[in-house]
Amino acid sequence: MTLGSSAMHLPPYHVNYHGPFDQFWKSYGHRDRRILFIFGAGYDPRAIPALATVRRLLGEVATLDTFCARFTNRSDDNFADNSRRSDICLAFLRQLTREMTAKELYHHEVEVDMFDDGLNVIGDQQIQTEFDDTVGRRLDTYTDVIVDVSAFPRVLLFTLLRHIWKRRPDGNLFALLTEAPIEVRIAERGHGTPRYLGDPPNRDTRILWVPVLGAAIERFRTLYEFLKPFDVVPIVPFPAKNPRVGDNIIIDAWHGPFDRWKVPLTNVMYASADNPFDVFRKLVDVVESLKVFRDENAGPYYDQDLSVIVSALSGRSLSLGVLLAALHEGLTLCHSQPTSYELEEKTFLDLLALCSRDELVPTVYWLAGDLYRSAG
Amino acid sequence: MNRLSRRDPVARLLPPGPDGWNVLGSGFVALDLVHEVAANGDANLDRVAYLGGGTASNILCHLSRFGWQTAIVGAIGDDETSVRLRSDLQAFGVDTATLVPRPGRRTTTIVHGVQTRGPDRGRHTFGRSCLACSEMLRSDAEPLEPAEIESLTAAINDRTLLIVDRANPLTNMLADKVRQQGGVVVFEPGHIKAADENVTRLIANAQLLKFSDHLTVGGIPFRETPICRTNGPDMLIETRSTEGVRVLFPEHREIRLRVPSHRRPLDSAGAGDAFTAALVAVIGPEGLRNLAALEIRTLEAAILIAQVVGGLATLFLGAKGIAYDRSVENLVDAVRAVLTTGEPPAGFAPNDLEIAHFFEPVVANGDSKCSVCGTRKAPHA
Repeated sequence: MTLGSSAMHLPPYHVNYHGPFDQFWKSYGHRDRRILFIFGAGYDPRAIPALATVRRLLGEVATLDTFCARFTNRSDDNFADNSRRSDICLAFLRQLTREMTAKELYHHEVEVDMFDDGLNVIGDQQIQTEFDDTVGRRLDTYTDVIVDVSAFPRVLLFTLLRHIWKRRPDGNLFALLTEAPIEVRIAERGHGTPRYLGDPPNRDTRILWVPVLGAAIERFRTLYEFLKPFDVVPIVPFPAKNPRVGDNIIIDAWHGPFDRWKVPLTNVMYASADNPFDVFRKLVDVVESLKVFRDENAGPYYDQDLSVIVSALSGRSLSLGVLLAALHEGLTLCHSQPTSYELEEKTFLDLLALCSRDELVPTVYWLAGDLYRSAG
Repeated sequence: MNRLSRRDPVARLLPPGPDGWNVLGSGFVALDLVHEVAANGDANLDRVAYLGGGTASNILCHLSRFGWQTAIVGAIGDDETSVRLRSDLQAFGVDTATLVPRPGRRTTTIVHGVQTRGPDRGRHTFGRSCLACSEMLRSDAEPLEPAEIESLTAAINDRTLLIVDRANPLTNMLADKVRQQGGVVVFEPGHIKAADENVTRLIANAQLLKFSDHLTVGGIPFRETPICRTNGPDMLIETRSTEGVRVLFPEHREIRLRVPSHRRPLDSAGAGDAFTAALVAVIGPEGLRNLAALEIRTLEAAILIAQVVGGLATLFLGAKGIAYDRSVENLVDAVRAVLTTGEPPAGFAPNDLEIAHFFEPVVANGDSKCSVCGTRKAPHA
């Protein structure tokens, strides 16, 4: 899979890799690897399978450090229920780390407060500081950094991956994603103040907003009001396991945001719900097309600053693609973190049963590193 | 905000001391002489507070109030300072019979200055010489002899909890004896001059090593020094002020917990001592004896309560000011309030009058002694 050793990185536009992690590791892994495994832990049991797979597959590597971002959201209306579930998930995760083997092993479990009392997100700063104070000191020594995105709040995930991307531009970076074969509905309620992840645009900059949509229509509206974009190019999931999901999103939005803000349906783009590299390509195309268009049409309308802002209001796979595009193209993300999550107890228990049986294998996505080095 | 529902498996926030257990403290025993400092930096020499001090002593005072049997072991002078020191510790119920007086010798005094008003409210400075007479207030009492330690500690058994804040031959001898008898050793170093054999030996003997992120050895943060990695303790706890607490386990694992902090501390001295006392009280001696087997959830609950107690202590003047001014019941109510609402109850923090009354007027001591520190003036002074 290694194409060369030049320092120049190609984006995963034409060449990329994703597949079951166990199959991948059989051909990739070996004893000398020094691994940093990062995961988020909260009320969602989907954090369990990736760690279980890592314990099973990575038992003979030279170094295995784990960094668990254990997030606490005291603003959650369902704090008591979600905290209880977090404790249950943590017990499983801790047991797995106790059973791990490697020549060198260290586990960091870091609590991160998502919000302050004023509902401002503070978790992104906390996670970055704690990361630097723990495994960040040895970041250059790892051959591979693997991030399980399955239960990681996006604001923390984006911040941490961006941070790693900047500090370790040449290293292998993988994402793992576990998806359960049952429908998991997590209702979001409320959200914190929208904020930029990355450099905020200049005050007078025109904003072309590319939101990747899911069911979070309310947050879509909030972000629109915050950004006040001059144009919106929404991306909806298609194909997807439920082929109508994209249509449903458009129908929901049609009676609200699309209609009121006159977003023409011709602006709507589609990207695979299950392949982050697809939405990555779509976003890269938007950015590259815009560059060409601006070069060819420089004039009174397009002489002003223009920024492309992206938002991930979608499932985790699409969100990963958005992040990847933002990292490669230097795009700024705009995000609003939900403050409350509601998960039915039955769904939680079904999910926990599935995730704790060591049957689900996460998909690995190779985000950066050896695969994308040019042949020179 | 409701943190209690998540992590509080203990029925009582600060359980009373268990029957049959006795707590011994040893290490740095001193009298704290506290001055109020004005916004311009001038200390008020007309009003002072005299308080028993030293980390181990402070922890014992808190534990005594929680209902534990406690005693302090060491050698002090037989001066006026020693009388004040004993009186203060005894007021909390700490047994001072094992504090051996050295005739004609002086007891250590630490001079504190605390700003109670202005933009630097809460700023705390330390010194070793009297602000009134400039006399250096170091102890010249000879340390305990091994034979004395033997006779003083004959009652050490498997229900002895030793709390130590300095590593020296005396505290190591005590720790050896406590561990031989099956008791529990907690080491909370407030100061480490150098990484010598005494330090590593005491760390190796301790079940719990607790320290602050301000602790340094030779300018290096203690947690980054090799001695911090000395095998022995079942658990290391580093308090990180408003950043929370870091817990290190020998099994190559660390946990960092976030905890509530207070916005307007009055005096941060002694927060760590209050933390340790609360931690010991909640975990209990049997929990300390079996730290490796303690459920992390139980540990987290204990740390959370301890951190809240430490935070509440910073609202008061002096290293154990909270223990003078508020009952244990008041404290428990305040802990519960912080855990459920994020804030202590109205009126829990001391008001201006209480702060003013913390200091007492200096009483003239005659021409031969300094009115503030009580040391005998030199004939030519």
